[in-house]
Formats: sequence, C-alpha cells, structure tokens
Amino acid sequence: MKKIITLLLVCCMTTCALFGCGSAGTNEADVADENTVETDINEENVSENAELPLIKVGFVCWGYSDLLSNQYKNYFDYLAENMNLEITYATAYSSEEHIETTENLISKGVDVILDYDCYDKMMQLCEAKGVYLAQYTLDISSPELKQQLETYSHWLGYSVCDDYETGCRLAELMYEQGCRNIATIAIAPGSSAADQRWNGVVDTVAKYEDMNIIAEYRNDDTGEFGAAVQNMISIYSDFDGIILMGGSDGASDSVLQALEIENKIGEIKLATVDIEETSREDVERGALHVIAGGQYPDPVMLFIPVYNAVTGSPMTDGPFTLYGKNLFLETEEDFENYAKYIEGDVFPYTFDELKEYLRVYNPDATFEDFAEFYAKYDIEEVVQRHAGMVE
Amino acid sequence: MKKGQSLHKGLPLVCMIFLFLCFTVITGGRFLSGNNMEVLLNQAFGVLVASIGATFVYAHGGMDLSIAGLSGFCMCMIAYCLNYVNWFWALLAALAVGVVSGILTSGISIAMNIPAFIVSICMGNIWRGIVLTITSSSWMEVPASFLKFDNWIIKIITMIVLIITGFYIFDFTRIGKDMKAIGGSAEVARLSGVRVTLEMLLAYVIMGIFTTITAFFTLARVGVASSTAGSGLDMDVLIALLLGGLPLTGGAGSRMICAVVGAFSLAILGNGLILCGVDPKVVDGIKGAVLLIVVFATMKKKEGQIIT
Repeated sequence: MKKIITLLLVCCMTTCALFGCGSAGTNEADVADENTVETDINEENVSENAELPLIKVGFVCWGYSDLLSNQYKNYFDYLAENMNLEITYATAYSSEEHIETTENLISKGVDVILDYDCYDKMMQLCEAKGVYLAQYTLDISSPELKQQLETYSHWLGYSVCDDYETGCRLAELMYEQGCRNIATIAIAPGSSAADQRWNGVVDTVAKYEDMNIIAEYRNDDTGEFGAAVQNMISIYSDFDGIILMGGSDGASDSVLQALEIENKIGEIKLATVDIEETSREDVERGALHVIAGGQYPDPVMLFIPVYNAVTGSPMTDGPFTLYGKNLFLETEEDFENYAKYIEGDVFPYTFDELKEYLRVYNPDATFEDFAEFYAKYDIEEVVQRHAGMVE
Repeated sequence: MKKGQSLHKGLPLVCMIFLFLCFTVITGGRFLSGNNMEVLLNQAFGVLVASIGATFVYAHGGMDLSIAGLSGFCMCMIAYCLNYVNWFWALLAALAVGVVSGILTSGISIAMNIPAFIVSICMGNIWRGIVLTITSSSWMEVPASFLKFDNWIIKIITMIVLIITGFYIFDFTRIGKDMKAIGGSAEVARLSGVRVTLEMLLAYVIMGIFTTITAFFTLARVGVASSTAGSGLDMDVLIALLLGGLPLTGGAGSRMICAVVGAFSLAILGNGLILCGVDPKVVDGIKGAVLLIVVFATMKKKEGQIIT
C-alpha cells in the first residue's frame, strides 16, 4: 500500500511541478494582434510590438541566486516586454555544462544564445543548427579560440568590461587609501574577469616600490574566503588591505564576516568589485573602502547589435567587440546616484533610448555610434540623461 | 520475487518512463525529436560510464568523491599526451593514472584506517589543485583529429560494450557478489571468506578506470581541458545512482541497472526542464524533490537479504 501511495505521489508531484512551472522560465512578450491596433492612430504609428518578429533567446548564466545575475534577468525581462522576445534562462558552470545547455537550448528552438563562456564545440553545434551565438561580459578565453570562433558565420561577437583597467584602478585607490601590504583574493583561475582584474592589480602594485602583495588566495568556493582572511590576519601582522576581485556569490560577505570576527573592520581596508545590496551600509560603517560594479547592463547592450544581426540587419560586416565599463563608487553622492539612477525604477538604458540603435526602427543606426554611446556609461552620464525621468 | 519487491525495484524505471512521457507531452513532441534523442544520449553518456564504475564502489557501501578532480586531471593528461603520441597511448597513460588513483584512495583508507570517502575528498582536491595549476595560464587544446571520438555511433557501441561488461562482472562473477556482501556487512563477508580489503581496492580501481574512459570521451566532446574540467561529475554520479534506486549503503539491493536508469533519468530531467522553459531557480528544487521521492521509496534496507 505504501509503495502504491508513493508511486502515485511521484506521478502527482512531478506532473504538478512540470505543469505548474509551464512558462515560468520564459518571458513571452505580448504579441500585438493587428486587430487590436487603435483606429485613431496614424497609420505610421503602428503598434511597436506588432512590427517586431518573435525572437527566441537562450540566456545562460552561472546561476540566478546572486544580485548580478538577477539584475541581468530583470533587465532582459524588461527588454522582452518591449521587443517581443521569448527568453529561456538556463545555468551552466563547467565546460561540459555549457555544451549541454547549448544543446538543450538548441533543442528548444532558440534563435540566439547569449552565454558568458563560449567554447568551440558550442559554436559547432550552433552553426550546424543555424543558431546565433554571442558572449557577454567576459573576454574570450584565448586568442586561438577567438580566431576559431570568427570563422563561423553564426558567431556574432562578444562584449567585455574593462576588467584589467578596473584591477589597476582598484590597486591605485588602495594605495591612495594608505594600503601597503595587501592580499589579493579571487575565484580560481579560468574566469576571464577575475583573471584580468588580478593581472591589473599585480601589474599596478609592481609599479609602487612601497606596496606589496603579501598573500594570495584563489578558490572557487567563495565561502572559504573568510577562513583564508583569518589565516592571513594571524600570519601577517602588517597586513592592511584586501583586494577582492569579485564580491558576488557570497564572497564579500565571507570576507567581511572574517574581518568582523577578527575585529579588523576599518583597520584592514577592503576593495571589491560587484555592488551588493549591503555595499552602501558597509561603506558607511567603514568596512568597505573601494567598490566597483554596475556592469549589469552589459548583456543587454550586447543584445542590441545581436538583435540587429538576428533580424537580418547586422550592424557590422563580421563579429564585433563591444566594450563596457565598471563604475567606481567613491563618494556619498556616487552611492545616492547609483541607487537612484542605476539600480532604481528606471533602467540605465530605457527601451526608448535603445530603439535609436535598433535597425527595425532606425535603419541608419551604426555600430560605431552605438559603441560610442555605450562607452560614455558613467553615473554622471546616466544622471544627466535621466534627470527628468527619475524622481 | 515478491510483488512488493518488484514494485520497489521497478519504481526508478517507472519514474524514468513517466518523466519521458511527461516531457514528450508537455513539449508537444519536441522532446522526442531525433536531434533531442541524440542530445540525451550525449548528455547521459559521461555520467552513465562513470556510474557503471561507481556501482562497484557504492555496492560495498563506499563512496568516491574524487572522480570530478580525477576526470579533470585525466583530461589534462590526455590532452598533453596527444601532443606526442596517438590517442591509444594517451588513453593508456590516463588509465594508468585512474588505476593509481583507485589504489591510492583505497590503499590510504585501509592503511590509515580512514573512511574511504574522506580520503576520496582529499584525493579529489589534490587532482583539482593540479588541474587548476596546469590550466591557470592557458587551457589545453586537443588536435582536431581527436574530435572524431565525439561520434554518437562510437558512443553507442562503447556504451553497449561497457554496460554488458559491467553487468557481466557485477552479476555473473564473484566480484559483484563480494561487493554486495561487503555492503551488507563487511565483517560477515570477511568471516565468509571474502577478501574484503582486496575487493574494496578492486572497486576503486574499477572506478578509476571508468572515470578515465569518461574523461576521454568528455575531452573529445569539449575539445579542450579547462580549469572547470570534470567539475560536478562526482555529484552527478551520486545523484544518478540514487535516482536509479541504488541504496546508498550498498548491499544486496545494488544492481547495475541502477546506473543505466539513473544516468538517463538525470539527463532526461536536465534536458526536459529546459525544453519546458522551467524557471532555473525552480530546476534544482524539482530535481531535489524527484530525488527525495525516489530515494524514500527505494532506500529501505532489509536485513538478511539473500544475494542473488
């Protein structure tokens, strides 16, 4: 009897889970029916969505439990509402998982895949099935892979943030803060963003004769960062700064907790990338001294030339590279403006602003103009652009 | 066989078939397409091969959490060797590493009287550390000629051969029966004349060999040995075996079919949930729920079961 009930429970639970989830992971924009076009609208002003074809997008991230990935998702959901997109969100971490996720998304019938870590095998799969592929936020892992990817007709290009320069600036700001014996902490080698920032820090520290990296730690388990910091504190008496290459996924929480336990808040200065929900409070209480981030619009900005290519109006003759920036928050005003204009109710780039670069609306839009527009990304620039939009 | 036992043993297979049918219906037949079947085969293959080897370990009540790191290291080793020798010698070299890893894991456990799974965690960290060191500056690519092994015909043939081999050794030789006997009670097995130490060592060696084969084909599929090579394989194998109905404590209830059913169930779940467009935040929850139900229904350990 027990086994029969269990069997029935398995069937019911699984069925309910599957039916209940339905399209929860996809975001289908409303497709405006021609019949719903208002008769008093000028024939030139046809409903925007009705002009746009349905584009199916596969978006791959390392997970959706941290702030940055949630920001990606929210921004894409906003785009989907305005651009008639059906987005399937998927996760992948290891190389095998990226390939498996690519296969699954292709099976689902997507038109384009945005992934943060692309491999040649993924491109082969996409090319064979006529699916476009682009990489967001991170640099291509090797020059050879980059050359290989550019030989495929369905490789669109990638976006990359100024991670090396970010690492340089983090080290410079820490020097200005008075730090001379610092520790560098990051996830394990292999992540382009962390590696580039790391290299930037190392190269910049090398320029200062009186600044040293006294300890290094790299581990994919960010929860271990705290223990590493405690070990460093017990070993190095003159330890006065930490540069954390990425604070998301619990990394900055782990480090801050260790500093709290060892009563070193304020004594050991902390610089990190990725602005978390508690970052402002951490700065105010003197736990956090230098912070960079705000790079979450990057995949959305990448999607603009991607969309143009997928809809048959590519902005470039071949694969493109789009350069993004990290924002540095240094003053109280920076934090206020960041909260209001970058993470507020209005996204840093609204759909109306992005429309200017969508060739379905503006056939004369160029990649150069778009890249120049994105290159200005800065807190002050967004404040000026959205002065009348945000209360 | 009693009716209850039939239901108990058949539940994982029923679950797998049910999931298969569910996804077929929900996706309007897209799940059943030829292309998707090939995808399922590719995705199940690696975990299936590793699970066949893992069955020998889990049947005697052991656990091997070093296979993720070992797989990554073997991929690096094969990629390196391919610069100098052909695939056959590269595979042999990696198999030697797999055997050594198995000997080390069980040998250290026996010699120092440390639970094998703790030793396997340590070994896994060692292998992972070596992989990270090797791949920190650049990933290791393989020659284009090696990619020919990423072929579904070769994989099907390999899969059939390995399944038959696994079934034969586990069900028709003394090795399999000894594993189950040790899983039931190591002391009773020893008193019954089973060479417990030797059999346990053999189980980890078999695990190492199958992990190496998994690494070989994974490398052919990915084309590069990266810093994340092999990540997650240990947990995928564990989940696959549990989904297949293998008792975590081993013993008489251990069957080779668990590896096959579990590996395919895992692939079906992962593939099907994406095809259905399930929110990724919910995916882990669903997988956990399905796993919990299957484990609950199949994990009852009966005292004094006769080993068949």
